[in-house]
Amino acid sequence: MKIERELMRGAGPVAVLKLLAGGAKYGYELVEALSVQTDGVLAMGQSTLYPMLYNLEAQGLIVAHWAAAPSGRDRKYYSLTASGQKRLVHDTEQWRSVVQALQTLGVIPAASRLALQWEAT
Amino acid sequence: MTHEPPIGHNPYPLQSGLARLGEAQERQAREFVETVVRQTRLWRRERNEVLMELFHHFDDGADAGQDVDQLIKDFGPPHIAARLIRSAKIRNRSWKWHAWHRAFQISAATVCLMLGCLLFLVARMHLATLGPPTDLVGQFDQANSSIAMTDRGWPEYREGLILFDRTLFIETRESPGLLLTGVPTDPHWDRLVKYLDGNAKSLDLFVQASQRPRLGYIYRDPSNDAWLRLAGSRTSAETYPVNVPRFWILLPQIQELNIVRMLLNSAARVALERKNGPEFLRFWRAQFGLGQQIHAESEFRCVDAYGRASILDAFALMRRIVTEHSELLSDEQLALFRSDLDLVTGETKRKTVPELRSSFEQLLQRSYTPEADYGGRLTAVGSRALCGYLTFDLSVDFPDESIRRTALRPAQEAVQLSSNWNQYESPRNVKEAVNQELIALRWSATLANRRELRLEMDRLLALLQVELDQPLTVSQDFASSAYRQELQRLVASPDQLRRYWPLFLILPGKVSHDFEQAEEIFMMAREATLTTVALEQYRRRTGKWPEHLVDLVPVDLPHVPRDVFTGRPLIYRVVAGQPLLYSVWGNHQDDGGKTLPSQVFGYGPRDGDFRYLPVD
Repeated sequence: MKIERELMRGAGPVAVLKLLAGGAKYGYELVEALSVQTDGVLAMGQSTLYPMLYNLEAQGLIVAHWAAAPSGRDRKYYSLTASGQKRLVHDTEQWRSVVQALQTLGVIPAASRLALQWEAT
Repeated sequence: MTHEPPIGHNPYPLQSGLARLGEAQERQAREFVETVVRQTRLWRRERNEVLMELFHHFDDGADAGQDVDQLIKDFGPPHIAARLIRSAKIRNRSWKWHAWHRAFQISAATVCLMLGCLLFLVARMHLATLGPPTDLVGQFDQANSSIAMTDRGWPEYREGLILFDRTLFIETRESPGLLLTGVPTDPHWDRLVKYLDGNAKSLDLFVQASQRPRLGYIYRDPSNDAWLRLAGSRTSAETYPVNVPRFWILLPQIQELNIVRMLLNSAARVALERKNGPEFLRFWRAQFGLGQQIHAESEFRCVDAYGRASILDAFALMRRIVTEHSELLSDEQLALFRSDLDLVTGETKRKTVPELRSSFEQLLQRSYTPEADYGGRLTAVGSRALCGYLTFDLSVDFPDESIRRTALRPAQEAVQLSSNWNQYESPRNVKEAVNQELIALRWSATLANRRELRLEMDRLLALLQVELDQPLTVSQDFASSAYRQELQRLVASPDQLRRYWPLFLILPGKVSHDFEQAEEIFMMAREATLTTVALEQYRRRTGKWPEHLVDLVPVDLPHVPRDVFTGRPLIYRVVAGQPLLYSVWGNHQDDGGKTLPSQVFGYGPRDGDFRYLPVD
């Protein structure tokens, strides 16, 4: 299912921050993770991902560094900063409120709550 | 903050996964990434960093088993990627760069705005065109063309002026006034007598011309051309082109008629010296008639002054002959003098304010579009005309017009062109042309429009009119006048000065009552001259001078002559057997009849008294 651009603009950054909360990742790794872990719902092209990473970096939410991969090649890794951690907590709260509101209205069935448990850890 | 790759680092991985897909696919990926990065138009360092990261991304994809076509497809549109990457990377730049960039943007916007305003002003000024001009010369000519030829004196004056021998002035390099105002004791007197005898035909023509009821001068009459060339002027067609709005009008006939006046006056005085009463009377009446003609026809204050001067000159001559050479005049001739004096009417013509308004209308017409066009805008032609007017005025000293000088200084400083720039009202070189354009732009942005200028002019002229209407019996304290105070207020405000300075090209900085009130002084001179004749008639009848002026009433005078400065009778007494008659003049004080040398016909300083008898 393809997500609308405006919805993706709000969900994309928090999804990336959440993935980076699990440890530093490079660009292709993030693309793959978004695609696989969300069954393609939040999959985004690199033309969207890299500008998003640069914007998060400009906001001080993530930081990048070059490091050698096990294969011996250099890769640019992104990791969460303290500000990024705070923003992730804040955005998670926001999204939870949105989901609860939508459940209250019946837009999202209550069973879907289980599917959202992944973000709690 | 991004940790940059080591300096000299190869942006492409040495152990590329893409290389394993073959050279063609590696080149395809490389070209795609380079295309995206090139389109970002970022700094070189930023481009290298993005290039390396994106290529690694493709390399990782190849390692994961994807081919290049699929990776390119997943990447998305390159131009969108380039745009998003550029904006995101720019956000990552330092705050110093952002501050400089914002300052540059503001400066550029300001410059663009100013350029836009400049272009607007240039377009507005150069698209503005003058309205249809009023043909002032044509109006004058139309009025005089209706005068019958037999009533016009000018053709005979002109003929006399053509015949008139001008070589004496050229040879001796003396002004006509110096020679023609001589007295019998002057070393030039004999030459003057000889000269007048040699120009008898011209004098006869002048006498004939003076007997016509009107002067009837036509500015655009081609018949004047021969005389104009002799007088050192251009032809009438060159001097008065049709449909050209003007600030000014050349009056060559007045200068020449002033010479006629002096010639007739000299001829009368020579006749007096020769004790030839009838000849004196002939030339005296001619001078008097010339003065009447000019006085009746003049549209300008300065011309009126010439007409009055001619008549006042004749009055003084009459007083002299009546008191000093009465034996030359019969009772009938005395009566004839009185009848001539009766021709002088007491009509008062107020010309100052109408003339100022007319001059201002000419200025507006030469400078602005009609009022219907957004109130009347300054034109490029008008700016050149104003520049010409200002550079002309720069060469003129206004010793008593401090307000005017103060008012014009900003505009004069703005002009700063050569002093003879105005000769043809066009710039002489590139620098002046550029200066003129810049000045025009500045003026067009700050000057009031035509309607606003006229309203302000009308307001100030109304104040001036009140000032000029003050009777002579009231002390003239111009320093405290409302008109002067209003001028000072305008001059003191830089904003008002910038908006209304063209008014000061026309408005007098110092009110001169001389022209406006000269009519009353002129009529007082007539009364004094009439009194002189009456005194002589009384003396002939009784054998003595009267003790008081009231003794002349009612037999010799209908009423006692009044001093316009006091409202009381002129001061009269008999001193050493001769009558003394004078006005207390502008200072309203009796100074014993002492006339200052600078007193000429009521113009100039008004200190001291003005003595009518005995004649100086």
